[in-house]
Amino acid sequence: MAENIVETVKLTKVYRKGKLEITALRDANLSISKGDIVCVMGPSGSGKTTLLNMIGGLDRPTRGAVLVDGVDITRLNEPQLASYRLEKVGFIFQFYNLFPVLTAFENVELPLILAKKPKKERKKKVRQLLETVGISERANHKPDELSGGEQQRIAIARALANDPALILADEPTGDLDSENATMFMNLVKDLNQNYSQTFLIVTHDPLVVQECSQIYMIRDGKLEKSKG
Amino acid sequence: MSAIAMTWRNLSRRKLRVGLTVAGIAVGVALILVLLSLVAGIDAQVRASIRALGGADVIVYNATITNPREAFILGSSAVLNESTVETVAKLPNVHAVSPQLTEVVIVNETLAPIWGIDVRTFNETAGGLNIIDGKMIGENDNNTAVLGKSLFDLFNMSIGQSVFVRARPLHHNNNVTLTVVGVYETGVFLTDRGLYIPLTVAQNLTDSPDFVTSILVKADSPDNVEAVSSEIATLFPDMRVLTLSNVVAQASQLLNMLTMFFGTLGIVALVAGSFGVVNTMIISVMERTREIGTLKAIGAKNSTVLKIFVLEALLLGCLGGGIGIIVGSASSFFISEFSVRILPAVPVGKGITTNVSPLLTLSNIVLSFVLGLVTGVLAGIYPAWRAAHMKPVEALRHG
Repeated sequence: MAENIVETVKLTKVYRKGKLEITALRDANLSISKGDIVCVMGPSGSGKTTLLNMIGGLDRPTRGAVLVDGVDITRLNEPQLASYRLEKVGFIFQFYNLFPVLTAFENVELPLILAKKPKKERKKKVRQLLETVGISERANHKPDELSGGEQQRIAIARALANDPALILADEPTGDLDSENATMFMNLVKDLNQNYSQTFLIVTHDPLVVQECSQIYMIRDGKLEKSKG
Repeated sequence: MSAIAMTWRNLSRRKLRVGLTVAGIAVGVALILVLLSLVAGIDAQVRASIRALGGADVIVYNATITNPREAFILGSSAVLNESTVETVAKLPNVHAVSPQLTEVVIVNETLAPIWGIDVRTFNETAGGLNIIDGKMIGENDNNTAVLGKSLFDLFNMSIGQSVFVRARPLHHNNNVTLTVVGVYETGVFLTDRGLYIPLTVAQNLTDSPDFVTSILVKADSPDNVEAVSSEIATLFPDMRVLTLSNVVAQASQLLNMLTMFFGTLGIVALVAGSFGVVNTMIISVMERTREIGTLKAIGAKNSTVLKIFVLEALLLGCLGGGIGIIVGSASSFFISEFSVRILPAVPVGKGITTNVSPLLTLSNIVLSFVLGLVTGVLAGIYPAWRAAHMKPVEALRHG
């Protein structure tokens, strides 16, 4: 088996609401190898997004560890976590979350600016990424001039900008029609086959699930493997 | 794409709100610039009047009449003339007396102030002029002049050449050609932009023989200055009698009053403006909560988010400061150029201007601008800090 990129060990998240404790995730063990497309399914409110956010370094678990290249990211401080998010992972959201004042090109360029890449290198990389996602001719359009499918492809290009080990997607097809959703998944498969790009996708879209190499189910905070 | 371009685009999303916020700062900055300009104007006037005294101890002005034209129209009894000079000269403790006539004329097609002086008594009373090149007008000359350095440089001329002096149209276009014998420098802008000519030439030019606009007086000892000035004041109740100490006292009194008034207004306006910035920034941060979450998700550090919003506040301050100094400069210019008499006349001028007019200086413009900038940044710090410390998960969940 290929090396693990990410491994969670007994990952647990408990929310407190007054005196009430809500366990969003309990002892979740999950491992992702390079080149995997991993799906996490489950009803809404089951803790899928919580799991994704903890792996992405956006949220901290109550207990447990997230090992990335052998380092437990739950022990990193804020600036270190920011660097982790910048360099190791890329996020894709249901509603694309592009910056409305920036053009497609600039949206993709932003993570490269944050990573302090020189201008020449940035321009080259962005052009290449826009080509990869098939949107070169729309580079100078702002998000509100683009369709949902186009916006999501730009979001993929943005997530890929700093060559992350893992792309995290939260309901990426949730706002797309089936044609665009298919196009999105074809792009995911392409990236996976051609560049061994690894994905962790939270979804309940069967169209997405059928392309995944591993499938996990979450119910009431319990994570269970159902394929792979 | 630069950070400033991105900030600019973010501000452009809410033009009306940003415009009103900027206006809030601009009002404060403009008020403060006008205040500073007034203070600088008064300061310049005080310097000018100290220079006007030269070595003299007391200067006597027409109270209400500042030029021969007004004297002619009003025909007032409160006019200084050469008999007044003689009366003053006979007072006890008076060492020397010198009459002056000040007018604005056209010199080589340029407006410039002239001072007509009686050379012998002028030297005796005021200690002469600071001649930097050539020589002073001779005691019996009637066709010579000494030019202020600025005017001399403006004409790009040399000693021995002549200037063509023409009275303003009201005085029948009287004119005279004078030979420039020397250049003086006082360090006072207006004075160095003018010329000194013999008194009789000035009087002929303005059709007002016998008329003078001011009298310089030298006491026989510094201890007797106050006595002489009060003597003159009693004798001529319609005249303004000025000594160095009361120039300074009057000016500083006015200065304090103005500083209090405009200073309070300006600061209140700036504080109000800063609330506007806080408000605008907080709303902007709230509206963009999800963008802030996204920024953090793609790897922006807290300090980067902080910088983005501080830059936005800085740009608000910059715009407010910029518009403020434009409005403030325009107001100052308008007040001084068109002599809008919003302020009481102070007896400090030499008949050129007797009301206080603002003086724009580069350092005051820069200072006002920086105040606007600082206000923007200070007001932006708290909202920016809030943005920087948002929890990314919560920010992303936001609408």
